[in-house]
Parts: sequence; C-alpha cells; structure tokens
Amino acid sequence: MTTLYDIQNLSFTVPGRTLLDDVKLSVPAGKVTGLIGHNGSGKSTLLKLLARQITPTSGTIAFHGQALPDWNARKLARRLAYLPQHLPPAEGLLVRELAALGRYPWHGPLGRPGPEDQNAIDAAVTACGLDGLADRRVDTLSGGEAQRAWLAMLIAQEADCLLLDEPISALDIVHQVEVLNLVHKLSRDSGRSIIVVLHDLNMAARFCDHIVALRGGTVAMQGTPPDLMNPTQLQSIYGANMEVLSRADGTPIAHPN
Amino acid sequence: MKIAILPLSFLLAVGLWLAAAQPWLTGGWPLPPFDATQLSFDHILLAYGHMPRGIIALLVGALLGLSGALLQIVLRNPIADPSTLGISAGAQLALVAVTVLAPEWLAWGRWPIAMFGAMAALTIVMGIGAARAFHPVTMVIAGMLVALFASSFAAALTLAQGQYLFSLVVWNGGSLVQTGWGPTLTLIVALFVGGIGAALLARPLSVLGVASETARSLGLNVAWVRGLAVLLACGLAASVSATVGLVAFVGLAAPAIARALGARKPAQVLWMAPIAGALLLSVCDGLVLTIAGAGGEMFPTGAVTGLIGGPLLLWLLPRLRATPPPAHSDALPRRKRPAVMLWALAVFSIVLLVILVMVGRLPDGWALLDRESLALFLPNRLPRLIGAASAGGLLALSGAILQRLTANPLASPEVLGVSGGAAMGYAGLLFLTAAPTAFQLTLGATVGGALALALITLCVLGRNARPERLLLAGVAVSSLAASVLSLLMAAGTMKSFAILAWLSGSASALTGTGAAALAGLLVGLTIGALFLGRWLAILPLGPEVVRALGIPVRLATVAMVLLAGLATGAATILVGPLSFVGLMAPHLARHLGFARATDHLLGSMLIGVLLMLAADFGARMASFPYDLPLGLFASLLGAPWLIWLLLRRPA
Repeated sequence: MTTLYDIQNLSFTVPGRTLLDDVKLSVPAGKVTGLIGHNGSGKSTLLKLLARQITPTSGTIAFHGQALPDWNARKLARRLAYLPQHLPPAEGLLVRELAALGRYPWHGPLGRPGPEDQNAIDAAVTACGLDGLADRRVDTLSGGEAQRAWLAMLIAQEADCLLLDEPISALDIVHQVEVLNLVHKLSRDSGRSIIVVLHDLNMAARFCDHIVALRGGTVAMQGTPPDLMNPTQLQSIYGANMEVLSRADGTPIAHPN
Repeated sequence: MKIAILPLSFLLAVGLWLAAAQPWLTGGWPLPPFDATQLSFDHILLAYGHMPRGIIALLVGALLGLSGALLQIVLRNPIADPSTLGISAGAQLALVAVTVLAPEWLAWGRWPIAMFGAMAALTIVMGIGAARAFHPVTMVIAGMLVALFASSFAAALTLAQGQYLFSLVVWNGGSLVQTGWGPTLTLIVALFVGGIGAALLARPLSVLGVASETARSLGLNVAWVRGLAVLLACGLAASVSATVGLVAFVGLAAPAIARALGARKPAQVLWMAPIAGALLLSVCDGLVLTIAGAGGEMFPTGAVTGLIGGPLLLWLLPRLRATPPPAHSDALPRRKRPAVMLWALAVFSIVLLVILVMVGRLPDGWALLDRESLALFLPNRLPRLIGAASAGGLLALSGAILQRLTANPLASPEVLGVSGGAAMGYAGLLFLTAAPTAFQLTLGATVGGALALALITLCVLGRNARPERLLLAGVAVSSLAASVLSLLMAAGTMKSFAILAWLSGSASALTGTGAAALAGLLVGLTIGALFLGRWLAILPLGPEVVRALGIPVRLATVAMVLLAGLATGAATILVGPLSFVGLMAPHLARHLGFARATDHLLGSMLIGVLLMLAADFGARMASFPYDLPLGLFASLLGAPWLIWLLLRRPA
C-alpha cells in the first residue's frame, strides 16, 4: 500500500483553543478515506491543512513523499483538488464556466486551452449529471445542483487526490448516493485517492475503504468500516449510545438508541 | 487594553479644549444662566463661542458616528457612510445653487435650504431603492449616482461663479465655530431622537444582519426595517449637514474604530460608534483650536478629520474584522453573445470619435469642418478627444478590476487612494513652488500617486490582507488627501482655483504626446488585464478556491492592485481624478449583460471611452466658447443611463 499523506505530530491552534493536537496519521493512496467525528472534532481543520489552505502550528505533512510546503502551487493543484465546506457565490458564472475554472492549474494564466481541456470539462459535467444544466447560471441552481457543479469543477481539475468537505450536505438522498457512487467510481476506475468529510456514518461505512475518526482534535480510530461499526467504538468516538444492525446482505448500519 | 484609547482620547480632547480657552480665562468661567448684558467680553466669547463649540463637536461626532453605524449595518458595507447615499452632496448642491441663482433666499438661513437638498437627494435614492425592497447594493449604487451627479453639478456652479463661493467652501469643510446655543440645542434634540430610534432598531437590525431570508422567516419586514434605518441615518446626517456643513470621514471612521475596538454585534456598534465619533471629532477640533487659535475660521474642523482619522484607521486596520458585502439582489442579465455587443461598442466609439473631430460649433450654429479648418483644428482637437477617451477607458478598466477583486459595488479608482495621492502631489507642488511648470506639476502628481499606491500595496502585502481592508486603507489615504485639499481650498487664493479646476478634470491642456502616451497605456493595460482575466474570474470566488486552484493569492492581488493603480494614476495625472467613470462604467457594463471577467473588463473599458468622448464634446460645446468640467457631463450622461438600467429589470 502506497502512502498518500504522511502526517507527523501535526498541531493547529488558534488563540485560546487547540483544534488539532499532535496528530500522527498515514493516509493510503488510491482509496476513499472517510473522515468522521463529532462537530468541532477538527475534521475540516485537518482537511484544510491537507489542502495547504492553512499552515500548521507545528508538525509536518508529506504529500506523495514530499513536504507540503515544498510543492509548487500549480503543480500541487494538478495533483490535489479541494472542495471547501462553504461554497462561495459564483455570481454570473455558468455551470460549464465553473467547471472550466478547474482547468486553470493545467494551462495557467496564459496557456491556450486545448481539446484535452474541453474533453476534461465535458467529462466532468457529464459525470456529475449536469448535461442538461451546463448552460445554466450557477447562482440560479438549487443547493444540490450547485454542489454538483462545484464537484464538476473539481473533477475537471483531474487531480489524482480529491479532498471533499461535506460534499453531500445539500443533496437529497438519491443524489447523495449518486455523488458517493461517483466518488467511489473515480477511485476504483482511475485509482484516485479521495478524502471525504462525512456526517452520515452509514454512508461513510458503505462508500469508504478506509475510515479515520477524530475526537476533540486527536485521532480516535483508524481502520476499515467494519472496525468502526461496533457499539463500543462508536460510543468512544461520538460519546453516544449507538446500536449496530445488520442488513439482509450482511452490511452493518448504525442507529442511535 | 485597546479600549483605553477611549478615555485617553476623552482626556486629550478636554485638555485641548481647556488649553484653547486660556486666553479668555482671566475672569474665570462664566456661570449659567448666561445673560449677555451682564457678561464681560471674554465671558461672552466663552459662553456663546467656546462652550457651545466644545459641546457641538461632541454632538456632531456622535450623530455622524451613529448615522454611519446605521448605514454600515443596513447596507452591509464597511465603506458606507452618510455621503454614500448622496445626502451631503444634495445639501451642498442646494446651497450652491441658491447662492448662485437666488441669493436672497439665504436670508432664511442655510438650514432649510440644506435640508431641502438633502431630502430631495434622499427621495430619489429611496425611490429607486423602493423598487428593490431597499436592497443594499441597489441603494448604494443609487446613492452613489445621486452623490456624483450633485457634487459635479455643484463643482461646475462653483467654477462658473467662483467669486461668490469661497464662503461655501468653508461651509463645505464643516466649520464648528459657534455664535450661540441654537445649533447645539437642535443637535441635542436630533441626537435624542436618533438615540431612541437606533435603540428601537437595534434588535431588528441584528436579525437583519444574519441574512435577509432568515430575517424574513423570523417575522421581520425587511423592507420596512431597511427603509426606516436609512431614513433615520440620513435624517441625522442631514441635520448635521444643515447645521455645520460637511464633516467628512467621521461617519465612516467611527463605526470602523468601534469594530476595531471589539464591537461585534450591531447593538454594540450602534452605541460605541457615536462615542468614537464624538471623541474623534473633539480631538480634531481641539487640535484645530490649538494650532489655528480662536480665529480658525479658515481651517474648518470637518475638513481636517481625515488628517487624524486617516492614519488612525490605517493603524487600526489589522484589528478590523470586516464583513463581506452582500451579493447582488437578483441575477443580473447575461448576454448570450457578448462579442457582438463589444464590437458594436468599439465601432460606435470610433465613429463617434471621427464625427466629434469633424463637427464644430460656430457662433451662429453647427457646421461640419471643411478640409482646411480640419487641418487647422486637428492638432488641437484630436489629442484632447483621444486623451479624454483613453482616460475614461483607463479609469473604467481600473474600476472593473477593483469591483471584481473586492466584490464590492462601491469600489472605484478613487478608493484606491491613488487619485488622492496624485492630487496631494499636484497641490503640494502648486503651493510650495512659486511658478511651477506643467511638467513639474505632472511630476508632482506622479510622485504623489506612486507613494499612495506603494502604501496601499504594503497594506495588501501584510498578513491576512483581505480586499475589504484594501478598500478601507484606500479610503483612509483618500480622506487624508481630501483633508489637505480642503484646507488648501479654504485658503481661497488663485491657486485654490487651479486645484479645483484640476479636480474637476479637463483634457484641454493635453498635448499630443500626453494623449498618445495615455492611448498607448490604455492598449497596454487592457491587454495586460485580459491576460490576467483568468485570475480575475477566479479571485471573486474567495481565497480558498483561489489557493486550491494553485494561484498565488498574494501575488495575484498585488498584480491586480498595481494594474488598477497604474491605470488610475496615469489617467488622473493627465486628465484629473474623474472617479465617477471608474465607478459607473463597470456597473453599466454589468447591467448590460457582460458577465464573464474578460467581457466585463472590455465592456467597462469601452463604455468608459464612450462616456468620456461624449462628455468632452458636451464640456466643449455647452457653454461655447468656454470649457466646462468633464466630470459634470460624464455623470450627466452616465447617471440617467444607469438609473434606467437599474429600474428596467423586473423586480
């Protein structure tokens, strides 16, 4: 198993509060890794650190074996795509134009977009089920449609690692499954690594290959979905009494008592 | 710790005020109730001059602070202030117009005239705003239009009839000299009413601060609250305008200072801003009293607030948590084929240029120039038209870049501080040297503009620099410059006229070389901006997305600021600070449906060119054979056009 991220003694503090405390973690490449934990456990902070959006207070992060600060900005953006939790308003942009912004790291400020860029944009729009909406304005879309439009931008970026912060928070159940299926497919078919912050335990257990659970800024557990899905483990992560049931096909689902 | 500034500045203000009272204190303090027949001359000066002045400084500062706080909260814009909605400019225009056209009306006092002007301006702004439930962005644009229109009209009147109007310049500057207790009592009533109104509105406003959708679902009538808050704020500002004139900058700085000192919730800002405003103005007035002495009539306090407030705001800037301005109310139109419209605008500009070169006005009518006269006029007329058009294009380009970069509809080349710096350089040279040549003046303006740009760039380079901070830093530099200029204007010499004429903008002195340089710069910077178009498309999406796509945030921001600053500086230095083109053209382009970054830049640039071509023609022809300021005509043409576009869209 190759390592995507190697994280050593990672801490992040803001005045008066420690958000991440001495995190040691190794994230596998080519897999879907689910990042779970209670509200305020540091999931989004960890993801922002991995995306180099913020710099750690102490500790190191290596991405593909090279320290994160040493990466050139555009080279990094070709390998690493990040979807923030709160999507900014995309005033006046069309869905296709938003997706096209994902090509920036490949052609830079001056390069001419070529056919491979068009193909990547078309493929991303189709993959997110936005063919009928490609010429609509992002600011007139519903919440779920807008979230998929942003996902299309990320896919068009063609990075081999995607960091997604709650990508399904505004989606209905059908689209939740659709997007997570898409995420899973991206990982399985083209070997991409995906780290996704999820709130829904059962979705995480069903679609992720690897689970990292945070509690109060430290790693509470990491392992496979079956490792996660037992009442004792869940109790220690969430501090809540959960029951784990078995579906007809044997996959577990968790439910609060 | 920071909050200690408040009591300290209170002590400073009181100390300065007491020190200034020294010359009259030989007989001790007069005690109320005052009876003018019983008092000594010194006591009369104290009782009816110095004492009300000390109190009126506090009152005016508090009123403006409250007004500014209300407006910044309701318009959700950290650079909104009472002048944003055009009330001060309306009051000023009414006073100037009455002084010129019907001086006998002044017998009734300035108060009703100023109030009428302010209310007329406010009626127009509210009328446009009402169609959009008083949405912040619509209100801000409408207010800005009215303000630009009124102030350029007033400047034109002043220039045309200048000999009468230097007393008005002193009024404009906000002199706090008092001759009785009447104005003080008026303002006490205003502050009392305003305080009650603000207290009643505090809670609805904090609900409104969350988001208008949430506010609506919490049972708030959003349009009513916005409307009432704006009315209250404008009423307070108008009462100040009518009593002491235009006191600049306090309305903007006081809420910013309050927020920098830790006020977070609307209610906190609403009670801290008046205190900050009162202290700021009192300290300024104390300094004016100390430096200029009691005869400081020529140094209106309201004009020098920027001297102290500007640096103070710059210093507090890193502590300021700015709120992002709201998005546009409803989707703006978007053109299917922008290229067609862009070509049409470009062709129209060239056709207009050719026609304007050919058409001339003779004493007895209009005429197309024949070959001979054309050869005669061309060396004079062509540089002027090309220079004006290029300056318009450059300022519009700069405005479009800044409005996209900061996502703030109020951003204009002026708020970058470059125009202010250039104006200071120009004025400084004019006053410091005996007979400066045109070249020296240009050099002075260039150095001033470059210094201002360097200062602003430093602010952007600092840690956690955000576009909102860039705007506030620019405003601070601009008001500093405006203060210096007002002081120089109040001196009322021929040099003041030269500055006023330069500020109003004129392309008549432009040489062929200057015009060619401007045109070349316009082409160069437009190409540069188009190359950076992709950055400009991504930058409004916020630093997270920008960083995730591998764009160096700081480098991109600095590049944009430098590009805009260069464009503004060149246009300002050669033609004058015509910031309205930079404000209006990007809005016009956006409302015409140029949505993508590159289309928006090109569209704004072409509209700027068109506006200035037409403005130069109007300025040349309206009062032939005399030239009028370019600024007047550009806003005469642009403002009605934009108002029509604002109202045309279905609600």
